[in-house]
Amino acid sequence: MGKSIITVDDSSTMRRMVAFTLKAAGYDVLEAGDGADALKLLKTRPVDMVISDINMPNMNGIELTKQLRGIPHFTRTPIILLTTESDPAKKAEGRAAGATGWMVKPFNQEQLLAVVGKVLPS
Amino acid sequence: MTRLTRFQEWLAKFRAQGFVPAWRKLLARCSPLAQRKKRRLQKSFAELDLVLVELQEVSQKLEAEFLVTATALMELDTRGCDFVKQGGHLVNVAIGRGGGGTEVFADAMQVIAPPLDFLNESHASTKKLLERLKADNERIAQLIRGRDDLQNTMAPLKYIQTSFKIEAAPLGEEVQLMFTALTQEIEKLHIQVVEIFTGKYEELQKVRDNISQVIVRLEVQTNAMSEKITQEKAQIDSSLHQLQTELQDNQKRESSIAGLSSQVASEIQQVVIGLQFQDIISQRLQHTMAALAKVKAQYDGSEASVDFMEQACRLEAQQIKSVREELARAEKSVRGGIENVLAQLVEADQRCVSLQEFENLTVSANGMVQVLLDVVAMLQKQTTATEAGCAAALDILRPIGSMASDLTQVVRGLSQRIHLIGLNAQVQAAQVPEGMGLEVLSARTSEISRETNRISQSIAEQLDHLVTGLAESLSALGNIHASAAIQKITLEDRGTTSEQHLHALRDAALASLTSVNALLENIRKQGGAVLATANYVATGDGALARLENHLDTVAKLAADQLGGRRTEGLHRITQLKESYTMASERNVFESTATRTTTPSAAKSAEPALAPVALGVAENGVELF
Repeated sequence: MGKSIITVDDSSTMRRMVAFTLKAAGYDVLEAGDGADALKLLKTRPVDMVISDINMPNMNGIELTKQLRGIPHFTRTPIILLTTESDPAKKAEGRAAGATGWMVKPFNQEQLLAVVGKVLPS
Repeated sequence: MTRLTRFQEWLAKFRAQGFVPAWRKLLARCSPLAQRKKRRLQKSFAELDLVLVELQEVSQKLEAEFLVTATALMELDTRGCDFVKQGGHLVNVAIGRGGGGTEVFADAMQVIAPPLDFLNESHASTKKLLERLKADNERIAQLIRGRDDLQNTMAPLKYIQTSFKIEAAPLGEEVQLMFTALTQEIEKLHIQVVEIFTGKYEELQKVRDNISQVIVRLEVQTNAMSEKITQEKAQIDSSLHQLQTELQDNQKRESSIAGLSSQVASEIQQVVIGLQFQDIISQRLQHTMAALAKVKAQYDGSEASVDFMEQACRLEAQQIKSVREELARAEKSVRGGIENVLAQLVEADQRCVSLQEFENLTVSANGMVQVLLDVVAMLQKQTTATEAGCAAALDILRPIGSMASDLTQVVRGLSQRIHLIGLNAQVQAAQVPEGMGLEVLSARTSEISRETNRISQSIAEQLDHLVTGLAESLSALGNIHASAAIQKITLEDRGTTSEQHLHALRDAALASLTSVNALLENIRKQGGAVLATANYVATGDGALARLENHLDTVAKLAADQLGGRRTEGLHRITQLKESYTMASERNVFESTATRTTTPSAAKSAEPALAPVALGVAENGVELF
């Protein structure tokens, strides 16, 4: 069974593109439309990695990161914030929340897979 | 800030600027024209709400359209992957890697190689056999010539017989009787020699005739075989060449399809990047709406709020212009990528093996096996006929072995008897003191005996060689025949297997071709469906253009109302900067905000928009 990754984004197209890229590389992919949905899903079904947008309704990506880091199972799970934001202040906020890395949209498929390969323990 | 304070500030400015300009400004603000301008600005700004509602709808429509494209792209990618896989499979089949990795064509070529070698070897062996048979026949000719030598050597015995009679006649009856017995012995010997040489050598002559016939037959067969082998070998060589050329072409196709596969992946990647602009555009529109909401919230009719409105609307008009450009680029990227994917797949299809090419390929290999089977069957038939001819000759030749032995015995017996006659004559001649002539005759008889012995020895040796040579020829024929039989069985067995593999390969290729064609047709349809969904400009550009124009109008009305005056609007617009978190937004902000600091220049020049490339953000990844 392959490693599982959740993609959290309020844009269905973005979720599709992330899932499309990861599934083609052999990963199992879950999808959630915002941080609250993701948190609910992850409580019942843990994953090996989280790729989340920041600006989302209900719960943003930084809040999701904070919440996940508070759950023992997710203290070491890689969390990549995939966002349109490139503001250093936001980046620092993400880092402080416990994110593993930061990726600016639009992503390149090879680049995304390289990041996943790097942070996801084999 | 209270009204009193504001009034005091205004009064201070009024005093500082002088009474007349301030008075004029006050009049201007209170004039009917100024009031009309104010109302027009308020109305235009209020109408912006309607455009924003439309924008909200368009944004949702765009999101839905991008999503449809994304879904269709995934389907297209799946089919594209299947197509590349099937195309690769087809080329693999055409290279002969069918049926569990069996190298069918390589096997077929291995089936063909040994019989080809055998044909050449057997041709050379038959030629050697012919040479040997010719040598055997020459040996028989020498034997026949040896008979003449023997007869010539023994011919003087007749004369000696008569001479003995003549020489013994004056020497009395006793001597006459003694030599009469001797001459009678010589007479008997002569008769026997004639019988032997007529009967036995006639048989030998027949053998020679038979071998000559065998030689003629073999020569005809060898020449025919040589011609046939040359023809068939040329056909096989041509088929092999065709097969090898096709295989090389197919190997090139294999690497070319692998290259196309990565090109398709690269094109898909461009489409994936293009589709992500839905999220970027959506967020930029949200930022615009949030900014305009701020303007609306802060508008209180004051110059400062009008100034803020003018700056913000100008900025957002530029934002929308930039969004329109991004939308157009995204559509171009998606459509271009899909069109390129389709073009690459069509090219891959053209690089795949066509049905006709594949049929040629299998027929070529299949035909080659059949040609070889025919040649080997012909060879086997020829060797069987040759062997039968040689066996018939050997049936005649084999008794020659005993005949040669008999003949050797007879010739040696003759020699012995002549030797004894000579000795007897010498003994008897010695008993007759006055018989000098008899001594000479007896000496001559001994000499003939020695010569006869030498010739008979030579005949015996030649007969031995003949028997050995014929046995070797028979063995060589048997070997050719046996090898031909083995080759035929092997070729039939492996040829049948090879033929079965070739047929299986052709069936697999047909199935693969059908699948490739069906997939390509599906891909064309799917590609068309994807392209049909990628009309983002048509969906969004109208509303975006209206918004841009409306924002420009509001900005102009606001500027007109301000009449060139500046307040703290610039400071307020700087607060909006925090909302623009994307690099592209910041570019627009910087260029527009800079321009607002020199209003006179701004009126004459187009905004210096930094080009927004539709690509991946540089240094967009950071791992903490």
